[in-house]
Amino acid sequence: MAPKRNAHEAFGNMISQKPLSAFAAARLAKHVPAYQAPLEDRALSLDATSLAQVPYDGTHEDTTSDVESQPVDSVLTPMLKPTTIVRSPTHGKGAVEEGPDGRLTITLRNNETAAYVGEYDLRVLEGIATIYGAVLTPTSSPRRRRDGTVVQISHVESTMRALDKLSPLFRNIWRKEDDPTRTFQPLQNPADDESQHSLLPLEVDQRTEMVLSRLATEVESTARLTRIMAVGAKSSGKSTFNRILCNALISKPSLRKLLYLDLDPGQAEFGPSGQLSLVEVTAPILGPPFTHPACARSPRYRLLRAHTIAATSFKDDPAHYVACATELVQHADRQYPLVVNSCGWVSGLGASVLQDLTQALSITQVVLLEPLDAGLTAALQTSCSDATFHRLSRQPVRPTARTPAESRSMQTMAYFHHRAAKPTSEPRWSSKAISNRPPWLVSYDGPHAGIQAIISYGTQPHPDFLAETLDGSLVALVRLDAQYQREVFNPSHHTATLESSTDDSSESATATPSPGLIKRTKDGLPYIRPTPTGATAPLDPRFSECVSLALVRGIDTQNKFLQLVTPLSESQVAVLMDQPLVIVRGSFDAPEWAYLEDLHLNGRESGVKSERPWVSRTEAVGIEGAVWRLRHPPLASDMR
Amino acid sequence: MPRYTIHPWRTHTDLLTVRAQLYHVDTPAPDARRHAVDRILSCWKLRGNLPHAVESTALLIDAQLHHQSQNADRSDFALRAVYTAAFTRFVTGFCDIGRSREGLLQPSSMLDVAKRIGMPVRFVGLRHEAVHEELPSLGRLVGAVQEALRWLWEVYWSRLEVSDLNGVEGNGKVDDGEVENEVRRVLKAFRSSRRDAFRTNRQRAAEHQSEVEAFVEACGRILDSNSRDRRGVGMFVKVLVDERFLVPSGRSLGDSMDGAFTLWDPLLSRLVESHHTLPAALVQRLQAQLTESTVQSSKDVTSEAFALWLLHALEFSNTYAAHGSTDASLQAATLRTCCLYPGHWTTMVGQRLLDRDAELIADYQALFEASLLVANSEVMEEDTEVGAAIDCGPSELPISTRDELVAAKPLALLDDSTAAVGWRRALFAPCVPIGIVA
Repeated sequence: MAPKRNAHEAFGNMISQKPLSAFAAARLAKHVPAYQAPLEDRALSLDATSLAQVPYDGTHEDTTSDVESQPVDSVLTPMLKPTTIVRSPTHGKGAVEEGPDGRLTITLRNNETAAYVGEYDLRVLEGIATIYGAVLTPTSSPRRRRDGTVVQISHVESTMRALDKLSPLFRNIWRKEDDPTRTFQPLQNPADDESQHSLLPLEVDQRTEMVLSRLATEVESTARLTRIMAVGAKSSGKSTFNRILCNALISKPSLRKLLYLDLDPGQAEFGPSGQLSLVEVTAPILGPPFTHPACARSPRYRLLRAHTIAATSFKDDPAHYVACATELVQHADRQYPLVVNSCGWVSGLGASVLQDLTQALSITQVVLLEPLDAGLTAALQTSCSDATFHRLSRQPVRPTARTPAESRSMQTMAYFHHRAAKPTSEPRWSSKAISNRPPWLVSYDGPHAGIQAIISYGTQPHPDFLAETLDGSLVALVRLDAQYQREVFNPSHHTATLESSTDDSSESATATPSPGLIKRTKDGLPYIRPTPTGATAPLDPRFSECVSLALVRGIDTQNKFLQLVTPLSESQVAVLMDQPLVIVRGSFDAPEWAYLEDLHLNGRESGVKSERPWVSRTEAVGIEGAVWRLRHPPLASDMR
Repeated sequence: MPRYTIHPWRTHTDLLTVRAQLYHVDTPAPDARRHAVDRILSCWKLRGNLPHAVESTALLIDAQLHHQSQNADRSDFALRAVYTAAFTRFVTGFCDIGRSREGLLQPSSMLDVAKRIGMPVRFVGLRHEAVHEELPSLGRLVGAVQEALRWLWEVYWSRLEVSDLNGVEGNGKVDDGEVENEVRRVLKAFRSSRRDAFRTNRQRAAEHQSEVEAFVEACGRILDSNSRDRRGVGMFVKVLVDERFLVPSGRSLGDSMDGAFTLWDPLLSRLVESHHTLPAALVQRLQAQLTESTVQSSKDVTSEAFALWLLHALEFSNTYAAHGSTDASLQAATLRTCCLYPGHWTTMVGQRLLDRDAELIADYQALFEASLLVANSEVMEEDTEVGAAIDCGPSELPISTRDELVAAKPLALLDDSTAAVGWRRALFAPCVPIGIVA
């Protein structure tokens, strides 16, 4: 094996004028999806044929709007000095007692910290403990002990871990347990974490503490009419701040509840990407986003209403994005404070959208996270002069081990595997491969069609290829108000457009002026023709609501139904069935995770069937060698 | 550990078709290029993961088609703009990807990347000119685009692996009958070798072990023959099951099968280890035996033997299959068959499977019970109406049994609801990859 290259070799000249942040370094190292070869193997083979197969979709430049880091607690930081964060009580002094079934009772003195990696239930028995900004007290009698705090942490039944059989992304999210009876491990020193990620302490500086307490006072004093939005560039610590803020507010005995407006379609806190949602939060937000999807039945993170922009960025239709956000905020009960999770696009179009948002949402408190463009700050201050502005100094960058795309696919995967929980129980994840889940058979044609139309946001597929585009892709299911549906889709469409259904859309546009908006493809798929300006009018958020994402598992053109897999429960679907529904497709990430789940689960091709659409198997020797048979050495003469 | 690549085309053949259409490899149909370009740009591109070479080719050809079209309205500027946009994206993409692949802090210039990857440096020059200076003249653009297409052919399209299915067709086609004879011969020899060993009580002797080893090798060769279409496995299983090799002769109802298992296990367990398609084939064949006669007599000795073998096969395929992984879909497929063919022995198999596995209970308990009710209340009869709800089960079964399967009564329970409801839950968990409608 080749000796390990150090960071200098791996990333080139480190002593450049432009120092590379640890985050950027991690990004550079992580351009390759997990199922492909690591960078090391391919960095040296720069030839046209290997470049030719790489998609050019905006991930190669650092300018795209959908890229934002996300604070996860597992990080890859080769360049950071391991800090001793943990003043953990040691076993010897009786500070940690091991109870039955592996539960630990820990006595902590003032300002002492205990760090445990994994999943666990935490109960404060005596005293007060804080975790991620949340203040925890004993449920029975919150009396303060002079000599510290006693907490109990216990093993939980983890269903999320089962997902590691379905995707390598979920392997080793937490440390590997030495002890199978426990889902957590004490962490004495960040360096002793052998699961490849060293951990950073979450440090809340004084300035942040001050802003937090000011915001809390504000919330308690102003009859709770507070709407808070943190504004900051990607990886400026915005999401971390939002969580600490939420956890702090929720810990106030007078509050216990707040509303969270999730407006970051690229890195949502509570839902799959592409979704904007209003969530009622009644419990601290602790794990990474994929551990706490919001849903209508969740007692902790209850989804009140959601819209979809069917993309990880609002660049295609900023007006619709603002309209969705504005509509969602109408549903926010003014009794409770509202925390807005904006997205980290703070330049150009992103900046002007932020300005619109602060006004449209009547934000009262703006938290500015440095570094921020002075022009944007000034513009925000003039556009909402009533708001109070708080400024936070630059936060330490918390580099992540995952690319935004990887985080998104983990989140989407967790979303699809999430089982709607009973109101009292813990959320559960199904370990069944998504391809083995019985789909819903949704008819798309005929008098009893389960969906009215398929709408494309962003770029339109050619109608001839709508089925091919839709097959195996992610879509959003949107419920329309019946009234709106009647107005928008002419009710007589069904008879009127069937005749012209086989036409090419461009021809039929001129040849047969059809009364309805809905056209049909050769297969009978109903779609909405784009307007002459090239764009499809998005659904009006006032009269529509995104109910769920769905995976088009297959299209049965013979019987004219779509096979849809959704995380919705049967009873939820039963409610939806007789309502007007449309399917919205756009530029969701391709659900690569879904195509591979059963392969990872079985570890081999199972059964006799070998056809697997959209997936090629490449041998371990490397992608280039396997798919592309090289007829001569890779252009060695052209190498410098 | 194999790796998987996701691409927007469904199968490799689709990509080859598009290549032929774009480059006129053998189909000079006039609309073919247009069709291929549309497919790439307004379908594959939207699906994501489209290789830049494919996208570039489509863009460049789209520009050419635009030029060739008879539209009188288009201006000189429009033409040059289309060519320029396509060409610029082509060059920029390659250079950007090359830079990010290098992963340097100070990225190399486009020119450097072009040199390294063997892209003609005048491409980069022309791009620079088009972006920062005047739009190049039409003549130069036309020439450059043609050259770019040739270059793309060279670095990408020409290197696509041509499906080698065609190549194999002709050679080494062995007569099916011959293979079956060979299977029969080997199995018979194996059986008598084992019986002899047991009779003389030397089944553990090293000598006998090496005999078994030789049989494993012989069978392995048969299984590997025609491996592409997996006919070897099919024929092996067919002879093994259909010709009653697995059923002890002179067996009476309720006898233990342990003797037969002991006899065959050394061979089968080894073969399952080395041939991962064998368990599924064996299980299907056993299912087919059980379900072939619509009325299963509870007195049928052979059916009982097959039912016990079915359970045994599922068990040992879990134990011995490669990587020690459990193939839950195989169990589920079997249980599905048991639900669809309620009979004395299938019910027994189904019940045992349910007893073993909690996950199966969640999915199948209700269906299984329903199938029992129906089976008890009425006699199976032929029914020509095809239930629309079957979207998976049949694919796992031999075609010949499919018609019976759709006629199975439990499905009729659903027929009334199918017509009027837009949303229905599929009856079965599918066992095919995403994208396949069974």
